[in-house]
Amino acid sequence: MMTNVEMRPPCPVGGSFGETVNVKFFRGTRDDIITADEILEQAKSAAIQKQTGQVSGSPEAPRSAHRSFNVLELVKTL
Amino acid sequence: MRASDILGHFSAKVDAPVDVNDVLAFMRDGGVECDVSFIEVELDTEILLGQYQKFYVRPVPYADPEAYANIYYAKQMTRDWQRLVCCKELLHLIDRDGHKATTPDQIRKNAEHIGLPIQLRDFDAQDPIANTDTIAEFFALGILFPLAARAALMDPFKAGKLKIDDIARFFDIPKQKASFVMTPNWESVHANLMKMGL
Repeated sequence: MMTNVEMRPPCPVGGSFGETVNVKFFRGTRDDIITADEILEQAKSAAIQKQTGQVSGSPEAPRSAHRSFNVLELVKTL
Repeated sequence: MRASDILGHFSAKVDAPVDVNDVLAFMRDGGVECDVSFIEVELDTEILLGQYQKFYVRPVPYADPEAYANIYYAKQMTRDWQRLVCCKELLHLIDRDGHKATTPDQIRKNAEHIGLPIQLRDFDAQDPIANTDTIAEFFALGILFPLAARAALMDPFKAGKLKIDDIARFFDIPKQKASFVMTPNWESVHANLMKMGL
């Protein structure tokens, strides 16, 4: 007997992670229309890079290399 | 937790740049529980700059699901863009029911909407899933460039003592986005975001 997971249609951006809850995108830079197929192909490619071990994840978001400063202090010097 | 709670918290900040990891920490403090991975990948940046994917895994059948989120971002982007993309995608952790693209049909429909140039998108007619995807970018921008810091910089900017390049560098956000935040329109955009309560 099939489980609920096996009966679920595959996620269009890669379905081997488990039960999909939410998928969102950040559009590319092209000024013209980008088709759904193009977006989903890139999204799948991202998932494949992770699944095949070409890239690994980090619990940290990319950090700025810029030195932190207080804006109010800066304005006083202008 | 709502996106407006996060925006409200970071709007008072006057330290630059805002760290996306601080946004995640604030969300966790507010009760958001999810194992988040940020993953730098090769993407065609003309088509896609980033992607958010949340999923549940049950370690054994009938166990409580464990929540994971993968945030993919394009390796080819500069750090300022990577930070904006990751911040925007991070905000989807708190998407409400009805705003999530879960089924294959919803995901494809959302991709169709996102693929349209912004001037062709019909926000009134579209469903909240697609609108949330678009509006989250504005929330992210408001978080990474706080309103209090903007107010402090406005007079020196108007006096020509600071250029947009300087301001974009201070906050490590894309120049075109810094330019948008420094327009008079931003205050009403920000006020509307706070009212939305997403």
